[in-house]
Amino acid sequence: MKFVFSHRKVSGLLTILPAHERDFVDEMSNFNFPLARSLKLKQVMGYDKHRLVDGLVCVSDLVVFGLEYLFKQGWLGRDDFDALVLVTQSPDHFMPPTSNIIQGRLGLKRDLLCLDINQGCAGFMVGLIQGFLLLDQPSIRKVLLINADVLSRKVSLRDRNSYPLIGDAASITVLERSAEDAPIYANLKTDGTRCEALMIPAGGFRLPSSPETAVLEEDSEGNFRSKDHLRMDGSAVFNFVQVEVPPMIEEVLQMAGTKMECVDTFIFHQPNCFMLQKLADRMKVPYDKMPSNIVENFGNSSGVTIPLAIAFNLKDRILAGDVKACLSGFGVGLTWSSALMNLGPLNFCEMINYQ
Amino acid sequence: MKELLAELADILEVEELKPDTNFTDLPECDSLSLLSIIVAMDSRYGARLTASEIKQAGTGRLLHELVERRKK
Repeated sequence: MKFVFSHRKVSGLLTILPAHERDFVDEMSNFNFPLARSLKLKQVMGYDKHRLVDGLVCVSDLVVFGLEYLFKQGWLGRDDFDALVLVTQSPDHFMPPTSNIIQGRLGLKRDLLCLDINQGCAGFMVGLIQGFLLLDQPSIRKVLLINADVLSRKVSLRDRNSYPLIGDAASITVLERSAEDAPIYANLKTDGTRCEALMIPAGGFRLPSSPETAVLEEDSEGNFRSKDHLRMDGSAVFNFVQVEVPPMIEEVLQMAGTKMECVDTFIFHQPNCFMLQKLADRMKVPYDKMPSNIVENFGNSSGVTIPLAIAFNLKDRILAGDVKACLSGFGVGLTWSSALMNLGPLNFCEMINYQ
Repeated sequence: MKELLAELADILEVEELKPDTNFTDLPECDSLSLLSIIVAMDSRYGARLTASEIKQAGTGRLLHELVERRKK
């Protein structure tokens, strides 16, 4: 799928991270592996600190905290936006939509389109495409794209495949129309035949949670997880990313009639720093143009890693002027998507902690 | 094959690897090592393999044969 948008922009960005920080070294004893191997993993994958919610914190808690902050700062008015698009895989409940819960908790206006989208690693891209489409409607002045996940609550403490890298976070991105006609190019691809590479097997309607699905099972490598837990086939995901992402980036550059060298920065979803560096090698992109420091500082918060990487690495540049950015998200679904667009100047770009 | 064996030994952090040693039995052969082998076989020889193909090959000799067949 190819998309082209014009007269669209990102005008503000806020990220919300749980203040609660954990350290990979402290957690190593939870895993059934020699310490030396875990230290090697830390070095290669870039596992270090990650931010996780403490207790039963939900997506709507992080988002309400962030929106109240924006209202208080005066960066966003309570009635300034007409659509709230929430991309999450960890809703407060199956029903109602978490976006409705957020509208209710904040007492927002009723003339508001609330939409939940179930997407993960490509969730920022899917949300961006959806938000830009909604701006076709004259009655929609601004769209709030909200990415939020608290997936650490679904990861086994004894799973060295997933626990060291998992992170919780939320981001609020303001999308609106722009007077400038700088086209935005995007593409997106789907392959549901490989959906089992990243999944939480139990807890939905296909396999409801039960005492049986809560039983911890050991895999061939010595990880313990239950069917209620998130599971990831790491090497399948690695191969998928290395094979599918480079041609997708080629395609989006071709759509724009531009070259790799003309892009200022490549802001990609960050599963771990190893995967990104291998991707950069394959695409012949210098490492300093492709930040890979999110997992080591905050963990992988699925759809929030792209906005986090923007706020953490580009804040000063995009507050001052514009940056030609190539964005890309890939993972759960499987879904992979990319976009080429100018980012900035933004009205605000801030990172805050949730207490 | 010598070069490939040296590469495997390096990844698995063992001094020497014999062509017929089943390296998947080594404690160092975890998911991280498999990932490193995938990358090495791809970047050095242009052979794209999956973790299960590498595990199935099991020895340096069979992995070498597989790489030769899959070389671009």
